[in-house]
Amino acid sequence: MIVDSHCLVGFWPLDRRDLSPEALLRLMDRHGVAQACIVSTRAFIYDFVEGNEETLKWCGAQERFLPVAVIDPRRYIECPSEIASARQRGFRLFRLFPDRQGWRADAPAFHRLVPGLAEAGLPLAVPPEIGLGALATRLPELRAPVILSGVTYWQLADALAMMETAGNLLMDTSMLNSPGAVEQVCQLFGPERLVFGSGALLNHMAPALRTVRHAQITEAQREPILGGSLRSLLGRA
Amino acid sequence: MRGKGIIDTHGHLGEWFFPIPRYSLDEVDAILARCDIELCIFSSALAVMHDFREGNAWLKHAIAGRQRMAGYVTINPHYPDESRADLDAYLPLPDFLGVKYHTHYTNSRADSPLALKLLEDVQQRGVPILLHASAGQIANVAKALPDLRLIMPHFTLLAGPEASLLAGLPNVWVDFSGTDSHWGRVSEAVELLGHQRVLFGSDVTLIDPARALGMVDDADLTAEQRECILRRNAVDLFGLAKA
Repeated sequence: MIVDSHCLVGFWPLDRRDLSPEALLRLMDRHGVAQACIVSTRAFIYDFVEGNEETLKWCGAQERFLPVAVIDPRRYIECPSEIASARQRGFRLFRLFPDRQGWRADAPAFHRLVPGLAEAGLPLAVPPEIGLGALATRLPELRAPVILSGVTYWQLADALAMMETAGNLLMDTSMLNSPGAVEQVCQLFGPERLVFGSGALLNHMAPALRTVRHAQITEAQREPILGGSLRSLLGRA
Repeated sequence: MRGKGIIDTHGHLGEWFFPIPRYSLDEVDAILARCDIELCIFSSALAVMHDFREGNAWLKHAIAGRQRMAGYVTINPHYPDESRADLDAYLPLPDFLGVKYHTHYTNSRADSPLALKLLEDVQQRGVPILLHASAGQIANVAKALPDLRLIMPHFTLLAGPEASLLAGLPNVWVDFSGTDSHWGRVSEAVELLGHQRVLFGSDVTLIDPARALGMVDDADLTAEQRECILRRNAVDLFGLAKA
């Protein structure tokens, strides 16, 4: 059973695209993806409170969607209440967008939100652009599983070094597309530290899927990557 | 060429300064076979990133006798005489099908007088060039040297206005190699340039060809467009039908 940890739904202002829930479902059906963790584009572009409500609405209407809450430290004031109520409202994961919002893990606002995120106990997905050095100092306090999302070959060395020392750090496969990269992470840390993610509908889904399917690993290793690891994480949450 | 497999016009052989496994030539061959790639045209990673002469010499031996591998001669405009010497040495060999020039790793501009003079020489030799440069530079070179056949890699990374600089240039082809998988970029390239001018380029061994194959899987292509992108355009551009 394939579960995509990283999908985006909603209106897209930067060019003309169909990021509707229906379009995502069609893509999931085409590629045999059973479930997708979704965020509303409004939540990371404009208003995370409204956007998170939009995400919950879509997930309420479609059981194959799993809701992901977005927190935007730029607005700060409403973040603690949104974080504290996330689990109770049904969110399964937090996802942060410092790359799109222009902040980093050493920002004072984010620093103040870390205890609340730890208390909430939901896994957290972040891109490497959050600043890996600053993130490394926050990982022990965060305690919850943290998924590095969109690690490319030029960020991989730092990500591997962090994974050696932080047992709660995982990686998604969305940009892990060098030959042997999936195999390497799998061998070093086990398939339980890798989760499939595509970035659809901003990205295609097939390249990320093909990369995992193409990896020279056993089927017993592939299954956790394509869904088992994430289901286990979300189940714990 | 007798086969019907994919032709990958963008590969690199050799080591990287990233945590990418060191593959033997046999292992690279196996990666190509798994992706049904009948032929991949490689530059030497050493030639692109550091010493082009040493890298070109290594590549000649690396690809010799390997059915799935052909080569690009890498040039560096800071060394025009040495670049011409390598063009003389390798282009007559059947394994070398074109030229590679990377502006980033040579800290140069493709439309500078220095580079244009060297590219004029490439034009006279009648082989395609895989030119890693901005769309603006590619457009300037394409206009200055209308008989030079240019391949622009990494179309997926171009923003819309930059991509549009390539429209209407009859001597420019693009590939969609790169790390990202932005939605719709293969279809956009087809719309902008026509499907006859889009090539399958993967960036192997930096990027797994499975990624580029996935881009084709998800693109809304006709069977004719797919066949052209995966194979026929490269056969025509590199004159492989005669091989």
